[in-house]
Amino acid sequence: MPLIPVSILTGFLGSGKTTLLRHLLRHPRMGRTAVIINEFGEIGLDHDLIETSSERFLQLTGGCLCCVVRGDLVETLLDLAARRAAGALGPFERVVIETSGLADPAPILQALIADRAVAANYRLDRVVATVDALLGADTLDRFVEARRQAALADRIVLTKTDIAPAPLDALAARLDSLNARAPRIAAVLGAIDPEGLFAGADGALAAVPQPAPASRFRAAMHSDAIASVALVRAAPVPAVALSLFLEALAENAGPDLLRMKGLVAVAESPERPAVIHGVQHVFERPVWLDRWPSADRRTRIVFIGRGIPRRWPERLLAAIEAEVAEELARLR
Amino acid sequence: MIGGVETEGISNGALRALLRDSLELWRVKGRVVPAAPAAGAEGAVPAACLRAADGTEVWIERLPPALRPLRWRVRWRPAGTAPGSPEERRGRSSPSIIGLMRNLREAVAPGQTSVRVRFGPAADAPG
Repeated sequence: MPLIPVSILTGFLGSGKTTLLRHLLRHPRMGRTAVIINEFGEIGLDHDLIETSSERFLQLTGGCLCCVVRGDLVETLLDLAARRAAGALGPFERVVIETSGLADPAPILQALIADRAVAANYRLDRVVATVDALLGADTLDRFVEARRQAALADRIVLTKTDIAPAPLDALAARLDSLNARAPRIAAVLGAIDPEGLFAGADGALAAVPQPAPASRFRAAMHSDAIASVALVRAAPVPAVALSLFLEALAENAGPDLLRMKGLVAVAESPERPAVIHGVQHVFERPVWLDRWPSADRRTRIVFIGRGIPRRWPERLLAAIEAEVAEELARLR
Repeated sequence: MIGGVETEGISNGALRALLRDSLELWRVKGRVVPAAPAAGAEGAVPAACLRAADGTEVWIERLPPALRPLRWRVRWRPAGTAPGSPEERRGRSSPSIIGLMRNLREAVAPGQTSVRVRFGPAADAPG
């Protein structure tokens, strides 16, 4: 049975997550979505949208399901999967987890990656972060939670663009320093086309990063120094060097490596690249694509973290590779 | 060949660049400089020197092929200690650059904790 894609909807207090979610739940393309939230009251759904309700589940017209998390998110995900398998719930095709406004998405990502039972039922699709176009630049300056949410996002939804004074240069520059690679989409009163926002058919391809555009705002301006660093190279990487590289990343950057995503050309598998993904020290096992997604066969990895020197990943990989080559030559 | 030691691994210049970046990553203030060429114990060849802001001195050496699989040795003199301490005389050897970094971090940032990688459940592999 195919794994159910899970998307995480995050964003700071008042940034418009719930407004966005409420709008999406009415959209025909979002049918058969299970949404996990903290409280029904927070989402404020109109009664005509609710088909059936129990203490923990709201079945909505159009096929969506709202589920309240009680304590443990992993337990909630497994409960959903079990009920679905037993036919006690409708056959939802995707899950959206709405985090609280001060939440750090990293532990959720780690649970999706590392928990065996969760990984048997679900796969991580993407992280979507809402950013308030009116107050976002100031919020990002003041709150580390907001910076982490934006830095970890695969998509950024700019809300309240109708009331934010144009241009949004300060906000754009701030987002460039945190996460230049995530596409930004504007939403007004939550109105947005979910196409391309949540689970797509591209599965693991959703993780393929594109090298971020060059920006003079690469260095973060705050003490937590969250920024993204890219490694792009043409030469394939031997599999053992890749494995040692991941180990060294976790060991040395660990808590400061907020997220890492990449497409790797592996020497022993020239036609099937590996997608790698990790959150701090927790890494997914590499996922092997059937083929390259484009003519670009370079390795490209994006590291989002705190205080990671721009060339450290590249230098570390080169050092490990040189040593692996030397050892293999010695053993022949 | 580096300092009389046959090697095809990382050059001294690349090693120093990696170590400088690693110090920055670990938030340890210090300088990495070329080592003075001199024969070390067991034929070890100096590769780099490091002086941490707290006064700790570190010497990084390449070990000769005869000692493979060991490749690197890190010796250090903690700040405020007299020359000839056990760490300075014997140091710690390792077979890999990863081990070298581990030993170096132990020398200059003994309070920091390394984190072991944790992998999720296995996915498919190329057939």
